[in-house]
Amino acid sequence: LPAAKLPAGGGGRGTGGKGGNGGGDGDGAAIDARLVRRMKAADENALGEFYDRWFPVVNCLATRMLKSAADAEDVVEETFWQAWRQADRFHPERGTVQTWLLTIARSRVLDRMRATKRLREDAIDANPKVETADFVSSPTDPSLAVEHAERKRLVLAALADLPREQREVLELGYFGGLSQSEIAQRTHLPLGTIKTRVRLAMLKLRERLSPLREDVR
Amino acid sequence: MKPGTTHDEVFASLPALALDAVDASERAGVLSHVADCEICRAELESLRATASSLAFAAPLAADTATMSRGRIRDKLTARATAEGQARRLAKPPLVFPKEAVAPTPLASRSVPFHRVTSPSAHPAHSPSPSASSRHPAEWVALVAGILFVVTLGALLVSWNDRANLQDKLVSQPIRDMKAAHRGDSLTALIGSNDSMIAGLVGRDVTMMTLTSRSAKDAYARVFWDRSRNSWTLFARSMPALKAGRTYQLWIVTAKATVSGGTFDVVNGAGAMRATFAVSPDNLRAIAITEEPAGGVAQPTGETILSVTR
Repeated sequence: LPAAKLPAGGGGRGTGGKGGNGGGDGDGAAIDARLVRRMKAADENALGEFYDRWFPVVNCLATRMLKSAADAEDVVEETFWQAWRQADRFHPERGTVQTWLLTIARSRVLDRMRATKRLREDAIDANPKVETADFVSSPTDPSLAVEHAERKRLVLAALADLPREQREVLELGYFGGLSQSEIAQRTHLPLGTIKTRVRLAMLKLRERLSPLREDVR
Repeated sequence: MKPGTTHDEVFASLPALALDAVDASERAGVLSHVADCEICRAELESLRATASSLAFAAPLAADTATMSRGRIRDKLTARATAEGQARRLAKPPLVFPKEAVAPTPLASRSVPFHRVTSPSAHPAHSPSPSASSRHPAEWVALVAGILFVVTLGALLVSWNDRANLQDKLVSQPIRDMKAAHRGDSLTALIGSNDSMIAGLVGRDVTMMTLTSRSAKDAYARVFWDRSRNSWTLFARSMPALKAGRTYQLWIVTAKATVSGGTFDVVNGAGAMRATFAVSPDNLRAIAITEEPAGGVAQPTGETILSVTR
């Protein structure tokens, strides 16, 4: 098969020069919104460009949750296909493209997990390592790589700031696909305790990620 | 969520809902409240944005920068392109032809001789001789003549009605048949389109891109639906064919080279479908050659496009 083509027409982030502080996220959100509009108009090139921008994140999420490269590959394809088919359902006033796409991705992953009954069983990493350069080597657009790496750094730093027990419930809920009752069962803790931890963890995380949220808006 | 759940209780469960961690028993109740509560809806959107950021915490996948990236991209864009082409192909003139819905012209059916009515109202001859001056034999002849004309008229009317009835009897089944045929055609068309779309985007579909060394811009994509043994081909930028020539698709297996059928191109574009069962392990290559019109049993012409496995 031929190698993946770079986006035609100079879409993407052609202006460059964004630096590494995440200050270009607002531009990134605008590019994403424009790509989704083009997808809505059945522009196949827009799908390719959109895929190039978001493949690394979606692929990492799917691989992390499914623990299977083959399953992840299927889910990644399903995710972008659904985004292509349902581009008209994206409403910018209801959220960002990032939220929309990653919600689709996680839903497809959870569907796959339920289908295969392969809920995550492994131990939680209590001390997640802060990584900054992982994405740099993967996306086709270096400035996009920097942007993603910066987001990753912020999210990991925010998670690292949380108490271990709160980080644990977030990871079990988000990456493990477990409900609060299942987390309670898994951790042998009362359901009320788990609910409190989930709520506190999410609110703290939101607070710590507020600069990121303002950027992507 | 229990009946009578308050706004505050729902609001407190929104972080879990954003993570999809609310238990199934509570989920419907929470969603029901959120649908009607603007405050909760805004809060949920905000928390969902936070939850989606967690995706960035996933460690780098081992194959992020490897082949799967290009492979998935190629499949996606090919599917999107094929879907666009299928949509365009699936736009037949679904409006029935006018004659199919026009009323049967029974109302305008003419009945000749309807003016032939009572002989007394319309005497056959004018001016008529006076009754008193006629010979009895003339009376008999006159009456017989009138009777003959009336009978003849009635016969002709009857014959005409019969002919029209026969026309109706003959034409109605034809109309019924045509209508049924149109219905069948429409059903077949829809079925065909469904089948074609399934042959392009189904789970068991493998897409192969045929490229060329000789014709620079020409390419073709073959969608092989392994579960249906169907092969759907879209060719683009193909060189124009000379008169009496055609393109022919070949499926090359470990044991034989089998014709997938022929196709012509218009403005460089062509498409075709074929059905042929082959084991994935046995498939060696797909090729398109230029052959005499009508096709040949085995390839003889130049290979225009090909892909090997």
